[in-house]
Amino acid sequence: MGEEGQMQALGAGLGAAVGCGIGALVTRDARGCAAGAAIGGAIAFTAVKINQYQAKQVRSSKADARLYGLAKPVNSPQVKIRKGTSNPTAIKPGQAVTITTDYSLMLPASTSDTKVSESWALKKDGKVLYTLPAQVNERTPGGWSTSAAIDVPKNASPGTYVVEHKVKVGSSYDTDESTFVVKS
Amino acid sequence: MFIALVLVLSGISFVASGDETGACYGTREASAETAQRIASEWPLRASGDPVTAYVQQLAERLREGLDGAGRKRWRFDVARNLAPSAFAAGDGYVVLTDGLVSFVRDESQLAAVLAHEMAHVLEGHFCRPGRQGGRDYQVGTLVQHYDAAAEEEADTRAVELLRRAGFDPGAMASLLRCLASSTPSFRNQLNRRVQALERRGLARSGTVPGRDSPGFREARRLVEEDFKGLESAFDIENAWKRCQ
Repeated sequence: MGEEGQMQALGAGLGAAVGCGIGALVTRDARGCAAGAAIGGAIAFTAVKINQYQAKQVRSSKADARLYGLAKPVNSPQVKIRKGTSNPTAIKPGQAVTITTDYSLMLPASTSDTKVSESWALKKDGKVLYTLPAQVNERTPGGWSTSAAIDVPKNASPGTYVVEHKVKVGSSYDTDESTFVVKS
Repeated sequence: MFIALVLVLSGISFVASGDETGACYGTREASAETAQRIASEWPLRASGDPVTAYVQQLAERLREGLDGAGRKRWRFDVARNLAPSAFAAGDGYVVLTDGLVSFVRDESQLAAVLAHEMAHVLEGHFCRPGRQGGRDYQVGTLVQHYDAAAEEEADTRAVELLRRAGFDPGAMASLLRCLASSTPSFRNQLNRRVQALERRGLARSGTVPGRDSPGFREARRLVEEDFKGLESAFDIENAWKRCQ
């Protein structure tokens, strides 16, 4: 286990203990303790960070227009996620998942580029465990693929995790979801 | 931003390249083409999305008060956009933004916008030959037409729809007043519409405010959750403060 892995595992252990304490204090029963532990377990994900963030233009504006039948320039910036993916879709604790967002950026004819915000949130059982810091970068119109690798902690609880992909430009935003399963 | 606000209550969208969208015979085809274009270009909430499902239910409540052709199938799409906006695209197709769900003060005001857009279709505004008078605005790749007379007709019909469905009929005027106070460039236009409702005795509130359904509250909560962390140039809180 590398130094960073040890830090994450320690964080998870403390989180679980503190969580159990909070749960027990609040509800004074075993179920409360379990719930508290779950909250504590989630704290481990605060150690998650973006590794290998990459973004590249995968389609020119013209190619994007041809592929998706875009008729003419928009009058204000607009974004549309074409696909959000997590790969691989099944992992063991301690492994990494690459999350990728493929989206179209449409800009007015007079605008050559604009700031776009790309972000991801990790959810489990309907609760947000962690939101990865948004990446804000200048983008030209067309199709973009942006990806990041996230390290799943070694003590991550088994189950299905949902990645919420979000992209925003101006007042236009879009979201998509992908999933991966952590097996015990 | 101000344009988007005014579009909340403006009505009719046309595919920019279309040439027969003002004529009734081409409305169905034009509407289908518009819907297809919006689906490929706009970030829409999925049909199974709870916010879209709620909006569809709200529209269904308005539809129940209609007779004959008005009972046709209506389709509402919700686009992901922080700016409040809505428009009708003919043949029972209406698009609104989730920014509108966040912007309105209560459920009756949201129903007022839906009723207004439905009214454009019910009043046959898509069947009128040509588009004389008024102004065109571009929304995405669509051209939206704003005609004051058509807007007043739609406002009047919307109040009737609201009353029939048990919503506050005064919601149409209260929303217009707020828009007027929030958008200096369009204040005169919007005030004229409020005055038109007042002349017809249709601007009075008929119910006690604060009767929002759980569905409305949940839809608004979901939208605001999605808006978290997204910076908006649109200051909803201050817009409403100006209307109080």
